[in-house]
Amino acid sequence: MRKEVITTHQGIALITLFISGSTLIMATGSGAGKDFWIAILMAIILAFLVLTVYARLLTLFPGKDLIEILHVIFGKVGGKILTVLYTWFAFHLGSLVLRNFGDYLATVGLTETPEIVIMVCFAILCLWGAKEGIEVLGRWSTLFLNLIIILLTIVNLVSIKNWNIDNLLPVFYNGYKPVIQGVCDVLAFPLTEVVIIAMIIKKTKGSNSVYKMFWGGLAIGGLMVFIISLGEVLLLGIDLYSGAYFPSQMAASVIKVGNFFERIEIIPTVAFLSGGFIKISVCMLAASKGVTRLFNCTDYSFMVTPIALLMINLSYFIYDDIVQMANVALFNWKYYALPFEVILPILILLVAEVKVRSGRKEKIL
Amino acid sequence: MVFLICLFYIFVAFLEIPTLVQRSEVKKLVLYIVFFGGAFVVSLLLAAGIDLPSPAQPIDQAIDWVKDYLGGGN
Repeated sequence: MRKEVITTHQGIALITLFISGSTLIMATGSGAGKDFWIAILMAIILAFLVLTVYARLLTLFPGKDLIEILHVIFGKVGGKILTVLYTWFAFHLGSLVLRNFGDYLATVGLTETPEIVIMVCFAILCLWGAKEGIEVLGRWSTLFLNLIIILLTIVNLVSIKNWNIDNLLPVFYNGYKPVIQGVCDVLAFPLTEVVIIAMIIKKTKGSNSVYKMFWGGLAIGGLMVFIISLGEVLLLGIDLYSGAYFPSQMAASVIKVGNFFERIEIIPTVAFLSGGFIKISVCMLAASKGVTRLFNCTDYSFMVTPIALLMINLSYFIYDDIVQMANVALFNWKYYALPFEVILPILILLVAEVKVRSGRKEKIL
Repeated sequence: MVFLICLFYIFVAFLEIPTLVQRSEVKKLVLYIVFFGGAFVVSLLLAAGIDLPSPAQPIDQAIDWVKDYLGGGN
């Protein structure tokens, strides 16, 4: 069996790419209107608390991932029920990101190619990544995070001269309610989707490295989400940002420096390719782990292929079209995702703390 | 399309199943075949143009019901 130990640095890169993955092409926090940037900042602060819950859970039970912790805390039946829920969530999320990817490329790039072909090709790549395991994904993330940061910095720097600060004003014009709505949006997508990472990380090198990993990843990933969204709204305005399916692509298409630096839509595409690859691979890994754990198998790698094939199928028929997908992402996702991402982990931590403090830790370990 | 799908699944099965058989891990093999077979059947149904019920609809209905119950909504 593989050791599956990653360094803090790799963990930070993995979480950063996982957070920024889909946000590199899709809008988030648009429910807050022009105050979206306040919503993103507030969501990042709240997400620090939520990710601390994940980190605390993993440090309470060193050497165990979230799925194993569920079995330790809730026993066979309770553990299996919660494992089914989290496995479904990972599987569903992976399918949605794969569908986003297919929609994006079929809309902006490969317009003549059937969407299923794009999704199958990309899923095979992710399947390979997931089969190689978390160590390889961690190393890959470290390498590609630098590239993405450089690319996005270039995009933002060259777009500065087109920024219009009026796109952010007035502040709090519609009161605080839309901001709260926006905070929930950003928390659910993408900041606390990181719970999937807790399903696959068992060991990290170094003391307190789990906290450093989650906080570091959130800080960089959150900052990237903030800068990307801010740049897009300053460039496009909030109406286009909220209305467009893929605002980053639209923003990149209007950037023009002189007569030689233009048509740079490929930059957000490359960035999304990298982030999406990590996100789908991690979801495949988590879903495979969940399924194998349900049937008491210790090795998960053999299950990655069937899970990937099922993911391709689900991503193909889950939504009729891009409009339906965008509506769900905009209106319903937070109600669906937040129980998995915030409510359940807090409840799990409460039970874990009670069990550990009542002296049962030695017994159950 | 159905032919292509069959070819693809046979190729994948040819790559992966012999390894599991050689290791004589029956439990893993059964689990693999069940999920792999499930994926194959779903692919065939989709290729045949059969509309499968999407899980997105019941999820959305449940969310709408909860939103109505809580007096929320958009």
